[in-house]
Amino acid sequence: MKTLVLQRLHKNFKNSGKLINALSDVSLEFDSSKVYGIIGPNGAGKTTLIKTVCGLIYPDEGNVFINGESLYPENFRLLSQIGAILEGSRNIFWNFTPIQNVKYFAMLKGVNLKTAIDRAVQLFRLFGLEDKINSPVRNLSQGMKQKIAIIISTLHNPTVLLLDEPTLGLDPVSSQNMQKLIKELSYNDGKTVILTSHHLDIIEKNCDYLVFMKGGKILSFDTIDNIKSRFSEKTYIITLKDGNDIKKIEKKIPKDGFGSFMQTINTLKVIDIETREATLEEIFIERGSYS
Amino acid sequence: MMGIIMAESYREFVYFKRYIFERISSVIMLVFIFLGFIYSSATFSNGEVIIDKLTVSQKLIGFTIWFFALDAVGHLGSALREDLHIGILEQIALTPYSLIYNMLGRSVARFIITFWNGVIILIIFNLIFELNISIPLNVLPILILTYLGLYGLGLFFAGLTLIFKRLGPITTITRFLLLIFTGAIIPLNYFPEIIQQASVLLPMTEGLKIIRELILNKVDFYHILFSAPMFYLMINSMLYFLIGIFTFLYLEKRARRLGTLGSY
Repeated sequence: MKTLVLQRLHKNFKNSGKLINALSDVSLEFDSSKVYGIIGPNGAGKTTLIKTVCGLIYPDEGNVFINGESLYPENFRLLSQIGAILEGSRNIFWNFTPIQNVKYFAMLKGVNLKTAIDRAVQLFRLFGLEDKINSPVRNLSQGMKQKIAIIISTLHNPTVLLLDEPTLGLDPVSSQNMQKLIKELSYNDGKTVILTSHHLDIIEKNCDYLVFMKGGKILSFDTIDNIKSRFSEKTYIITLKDGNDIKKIEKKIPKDGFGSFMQTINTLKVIDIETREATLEEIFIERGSYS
Repeated sequence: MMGIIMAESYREFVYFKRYIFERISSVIMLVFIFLGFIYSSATFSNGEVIIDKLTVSQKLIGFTIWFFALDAVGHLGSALREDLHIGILEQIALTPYSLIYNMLGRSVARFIITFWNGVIILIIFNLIFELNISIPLNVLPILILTYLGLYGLGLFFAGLTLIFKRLGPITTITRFLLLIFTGAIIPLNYFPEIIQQASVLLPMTEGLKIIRELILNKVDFYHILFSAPMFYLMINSMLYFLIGIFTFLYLEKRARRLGTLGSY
């Protein structure tokens, strides 16, 4: 059974009398132990989608199924299976210490206090935060705050974890740690992890599947490898001998253009040919999908 | 559900500890306001200050109940606004229950804190002015019933905060209505008949009347239990509480439908 199923979700907002399609016939299915990346330009509907799965925004039509049970109308006990980090929100109390946050959210989510504290202390230790558990969160770095937020969001051991821009504002080292944590939560703990990011390299490195949204619609949903092979041209890096000089040229060849490409290079003195697959950034940004 | 109430009580107590100076200041402020009240109703005779202990006791009880009614009516809305402002509300709303339980948890915690603040103040003034106000235990159920209605009004304003975010002076207007037209500091018989009758509709009037009877006139609780003011108090408090709950639930749903639950 799929962990999470989104069935024909529609959501419109009115802004200054204008109707905005935030979600338009969105249907998706998600498995456990997999990481899904949602990308798309600003206003694509990514955050609306995440919030609809969390019950924070009610859809106009459609439903969300978590482990086979429907979330709407208002079957909110299913939210005990969801954990989320929301972009633009604080996610944790900055005036509390990490351990006070653990106690508050454990009680809020109905988790046994002792179990929650033990699990959190273990995770704090894993992320090198054990000496910070009694410091006010406001005094900690952005990376530490984000790690604490993730620890808190997993206290109740959710089956689905939604992370809206989880690496936003993190330095490269913290960002790498965060990515490691995301993979561990998915592959070791068996969670379905769904993340959004504007950093396509992070999506490419960490996700098994990619959802591309624009204007509230799903334009593509597939494994990253399939998307790359379907959309991309391979880039050939050709090393040539030109007189006494050695030159390197890069040429992008469409999938059906290989024959004519071979005819062209037959006339040249080719020393070596390397191939490189296009990155998601090349596929989505250079092709203008984001604009 | 009990966990949510526990969590919100815990939050209130962490805030209480964290902002202890603010809490102490508010008690000191209250002491000064009471001093002003007491001496403004005192008279001079042969160079001596004469304080009418009964009037002072009545005002002290009325003002204490009103002062903490301010918290009951306004705290939930302002706490919600603070959650919206710092951006934590959506994370709190990610529980398997409605936000109404968070509000109820906070109300319980605030009521406990408020109750002890009130007790401390009454003890201080009892000692200074030898007022001999002793509070019988049977005041507690009346106090709880009175505040049930007041927290109902608080829930109503909290629900409006979810949609309108800032309510402006509407809660302040309500607070002054409660101060002036419930008999807290001005005896109700000073007002025209129509205002006296309308005052029964406010959520504090009957409760205050009964509490004064129990504390100052030492009226038997069982006599009160089957009296008309008790009947009005029960109806009034239940109505305010239910209106508060249903308004909040409706407006929470509306905010989720509009997608504005977390926006400020």
